[in-house]
Amino acid sequence: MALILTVALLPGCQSDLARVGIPLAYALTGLCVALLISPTPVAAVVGLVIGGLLGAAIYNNSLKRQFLERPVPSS
Amino acid sequence: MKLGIGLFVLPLLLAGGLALGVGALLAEGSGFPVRTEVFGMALAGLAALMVAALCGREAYAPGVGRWPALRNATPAFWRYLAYGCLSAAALLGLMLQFVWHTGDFTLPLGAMGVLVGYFSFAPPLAWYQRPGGEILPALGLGLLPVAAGYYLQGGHLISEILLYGLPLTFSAFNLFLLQGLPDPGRPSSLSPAGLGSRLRPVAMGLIYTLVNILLILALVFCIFFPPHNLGMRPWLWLLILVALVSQELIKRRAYLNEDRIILLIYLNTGLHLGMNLVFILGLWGRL
Repeated sequence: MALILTVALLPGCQSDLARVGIPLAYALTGLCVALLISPTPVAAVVGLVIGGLLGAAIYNNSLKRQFLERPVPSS
Repeated sequence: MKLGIGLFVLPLLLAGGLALGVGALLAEGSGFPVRTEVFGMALAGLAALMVAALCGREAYAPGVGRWPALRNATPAFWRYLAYGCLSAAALLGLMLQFVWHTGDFTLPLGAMGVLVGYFSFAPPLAWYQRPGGEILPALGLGLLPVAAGYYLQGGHLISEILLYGLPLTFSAFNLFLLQGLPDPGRPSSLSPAGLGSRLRPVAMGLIYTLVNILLILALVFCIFFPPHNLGMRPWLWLLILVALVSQELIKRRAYLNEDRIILLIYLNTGLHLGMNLVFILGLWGRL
């Protein structure tokens, strides 16, 4: 029930979901790929950290894309 | 008693595909035209993930649950087949994200599919061995494919996904809970695995009842508080009736009789597929 409430109330949250969500989602992706390659706790931690870093880079890249797509205000 | 494997695998694949369709139709109704090629690739990716999960079962936990193992190949064969399916799904995910620009969450959604599907049986996670391990596969048949179907078309998520994803998740949870029940005639036929075989029958019945009540409440919410008129009210009432019949069977301790457990599994499978169909037809009618 707590999970349902959290998920239901999340859209009303003021902070940017992508800032936390993208690194977290890629950290889970890294964890998943690492466990497929080597099912050990060390591999899981390494995958989680590398995935999180990759996610942060992807978030930065998505910010850059937003800046580039933003129209230049006319003077 | 073991059920025929086709009776489990086919409804499972159908349920995943239909839930993805629910998400795609929801996106179409929200103003994001469905891209057929994206939907086709997503469907193929989902099928690959589900087949990988089933191969994982054959490789790491053959014969667990109420359906027999496929004994015509070695565990190594099933393991390599699972890796092949996962590779195909990864390729489709990469193409969706980088060629069709479906959004930054495309690959993580696929990875979530691997975590709740393939790792249901594969070590080190092997959710089927853990109490409450039914929750993640249930998300994989409910909330996750609906969210993926919407996200791949629309590029973001909306709270209406919960309206359709949660009842599907609740019904899938109850289905997996029933699948994990030991045969009452042969209590030692299964090693302790999920909630169904770890808990006493009465406690299992209580959990089933709680989740079934949540399912009925979610369907009632769909009838009385939909953001848009779904237009399938009589069918939604019929689904609630089926859920009530299942509840009555549980109240009469159906979990102590193998034939009634199988009847409950059929009822819940019908309820889950019926819910998918009603949501799809309702959303189709809204376009």
